[in-house]
Amino acid sequence: MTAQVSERLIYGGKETPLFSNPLSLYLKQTGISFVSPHTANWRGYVGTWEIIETAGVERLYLVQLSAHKTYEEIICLSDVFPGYEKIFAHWFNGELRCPQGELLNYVHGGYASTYEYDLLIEFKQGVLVKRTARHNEPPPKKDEKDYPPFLRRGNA
Amino acid sequence: MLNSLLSWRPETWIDCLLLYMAPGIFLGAYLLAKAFQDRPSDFAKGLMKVMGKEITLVDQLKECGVYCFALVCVLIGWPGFLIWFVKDKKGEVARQEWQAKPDFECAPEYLIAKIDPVDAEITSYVSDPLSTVPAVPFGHLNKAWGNFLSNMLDEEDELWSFHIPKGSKTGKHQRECKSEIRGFAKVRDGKILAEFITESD
Repeated sequence: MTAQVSERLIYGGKETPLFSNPLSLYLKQTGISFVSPHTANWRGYVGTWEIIETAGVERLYLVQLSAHKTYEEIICLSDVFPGYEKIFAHWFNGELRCPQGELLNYVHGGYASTYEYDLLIEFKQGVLVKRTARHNEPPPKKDEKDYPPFLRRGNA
Repeated sequence: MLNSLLSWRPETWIDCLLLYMAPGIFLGAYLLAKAFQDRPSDFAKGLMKVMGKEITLVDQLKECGVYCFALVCVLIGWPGFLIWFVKDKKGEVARQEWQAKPDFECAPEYLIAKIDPVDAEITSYVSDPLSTVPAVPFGHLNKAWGNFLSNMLDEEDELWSFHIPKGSKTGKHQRECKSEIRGFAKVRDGKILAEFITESD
């Protein structure tokens, strides 16, 4: 496994990495899949999302998409959603995780790396319902003895 | 010859021992044949050689010794091995059945109520002030809904709504769901045959 390229989120005019994939349910339900261009992007696409406020309600929209139809051919949002410039993610229930600050611990897999803070934004049917920030501690340093023998350095 | 074989009765303790070990010979032969069938391929052997882990004559002698010891164990303790063999086969069949099962998020305990498709559609329209959602049932998921309904061909098929609370264990692998999940399931005789998820993370 390799650390995965993140989605992007525009919130309050600022762009930040997004360690969640709100498009996955849509793709699963509609049977759409993309081709992975490299090991850091197994899902085969990168979406840019924006939280847009209308009449006091903040909603999650997909505003850009760069998806690999084939290894060479990249398609955009209007190819997947013809006739639309942005898409309201009305299917999304759950939490978006936006890492902030310094990288405390790099993990070579998925979205498992730890950053100084996580901005957690909860949605219900694509509508923002709660925002919280979480302060992360750096994980304790591991000694050689904390690893199983076959993973220890210096072993033949 | 058959008559003499049928009329043979064990007379010494060696005869009794041979009679006892007879099934063990068949079981041992079967296990040896299976081990021969599962032996490393030439490619695997070549790979081991490249990695500097080539099988030496000492390794082969050790392996031969292990096989001899195992064969003696099977000959003597064949009833135990037979029980283990049957259990292992049963376990393998159960594993294959589990693998073949579809991986649905919904389980019977999360079903809420039987619902008519028309009623399900009435409450499914999505309101968006920026008009980025088509005015059809379930918005952008409309095509998936259509596919889901088109598979409900049997008269006994029922449409049920379901709700999985946050933190519940779902799917074949019993993952903990990080958000609540809502949707509809195709149910026949209490068994879930398909699902259409309308809300999830």
